[in-house]
Order: sequence, then structure tokens, then C-alpha cells
Amino acid sequence: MNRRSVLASVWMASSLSLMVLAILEISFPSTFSLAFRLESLLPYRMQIGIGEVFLSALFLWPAWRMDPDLSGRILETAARLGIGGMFILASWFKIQNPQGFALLVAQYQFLPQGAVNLFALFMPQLELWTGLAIILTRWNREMALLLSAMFIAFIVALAQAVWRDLGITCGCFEIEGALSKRDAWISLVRDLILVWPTLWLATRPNRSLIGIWTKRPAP
Amino acid sequence: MKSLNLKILLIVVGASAVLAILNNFRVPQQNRVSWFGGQPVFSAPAKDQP
Repeated sequence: MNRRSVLASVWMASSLSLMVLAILEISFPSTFSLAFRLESLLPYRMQIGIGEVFLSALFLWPAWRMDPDLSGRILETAARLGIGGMFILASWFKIQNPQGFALLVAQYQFLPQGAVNLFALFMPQLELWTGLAIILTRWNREMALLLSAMFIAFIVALAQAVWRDLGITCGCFEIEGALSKRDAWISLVRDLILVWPTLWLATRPNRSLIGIWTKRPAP
Repeated sequence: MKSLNLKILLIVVGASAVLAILNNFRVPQQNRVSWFGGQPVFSAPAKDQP
């Protein structure tokens, strides 16, 4: 590994750490966000998280300039593990409690009443198996497209909820909260950020996670 | 799009549908849902609620 590759790795590690921190701050502000703790000084609690996303994207540039091949491999590995892992995590509680998840889905007032329960049964399974498949199989492009389609569906559903001022909670990672009616726009911002790396993954060739590091790129 | 493996996409979607049905039999009775039903919609919170 030459000096440029080492430097590119350092930039990539910084960028990915910032991105993880940003997503945690945006998703779980009461646990992770510095801005949330200093709410009297920084009343808009997502600003630090969004700033970190921009900084993270900025850090990708020098890494890409120094070693585009290595940077692409690191980013692909991290995106597949991170996004796949997130979908697995998000699906787990919904699979255990379809009734609780259906209640959250109904609050979106987006689907016909007769389709709510079927959707609440089907969607978590699709999240779980697509998340597992993008990590464990070589079908990267197909799974990334499925995940992108799910993200776009979530964005449309959340955007209409924000637009109609339904005041609902996302229901992305926990069942509790259908009655507490927390902000859906936090989830909307997070999904608007995460759809881009997922769409980028769909442009990468089909290969396993190990294959990313063992196969040479096509000339 | 041409190089996409549609068979894999259909397998994942189909398997998810089958497992979704099986899951509704697997979970405890209180967590099950009726197949073609909906859920109650709560009223929106007051504006000043945090």
C-alpha cells in the first residue's frame, strides 16, 4: 500500500465516521445529538447532523482524488454493510409485532384501509431479506434497486405526512410512539440522505463483499 | 436495466410474501393482524405539544 492509498484510507475513515455520527444524531437526537443537549443554544437540533453529512461528503473528494479504486471499494463495502444492517435492524421489531406496525402504518393515512395489514406483514420481510441479501450475496445491483425503491416509497409517504401536518412518528426503528406523534420530518431528512448512497450502489457491479476486495476492476 | 437479474428480484419479493404470511401464524395471538383489514387512525396532536 503506497502513501496515497494510506492517506485516501484516512480520508475515507473520517468521512464514514462522520456519516455514521450524522445519521445517529439525526435519527436518535435525544441519545446522540450534541445540539439536542444544547437545545437552548441550538434550537434547530438537526443542523449539526446535516453539517456533518456535508463535511462527510467533502472528505470523500480528497480520498477519491488520491485513490479512486480503493475509495470506491471502501465506500461500497461500508454502504452495503451500513444500509443492509440498518434495514435488518429496522425490520426486526416489525416482524415480531405486525399488529403494532400496522397501527403505525395506518397513521400515515396513505394506503387504503384494506391494504394496511397486508403491507405491515409484507414490508418488514422485504426489508429483512433485501438487507441480508445485499450483505451476503453477490446481487448488489438488484438489491440496491429494491432498497432505493423502498427509500423512495418511504420518502413519498413521509413527505405527504409532513405536508398534511399529520404529526406522526416514523415507525422506522420502534413500535412505540404512534400515540406520541413525534416529528416525521426527522425521518424524511434521514431517508433523503440515505437514498443517494443506495442509488450509487445500484451502479456498482454485482459481486460479493469479499469479491469487492479480491476481484480486479474491469479495464 | 437490461442486465438486471429479474429472477432474483422476483425470488426475493415472492419469498418475502410467503414468509409474511407464515409470520402472521408464528407471532403471538395479540400481535397478529387480520388479512385484509386496517387499523384505527388517531387524531393529530395539538400544535403546542412537544
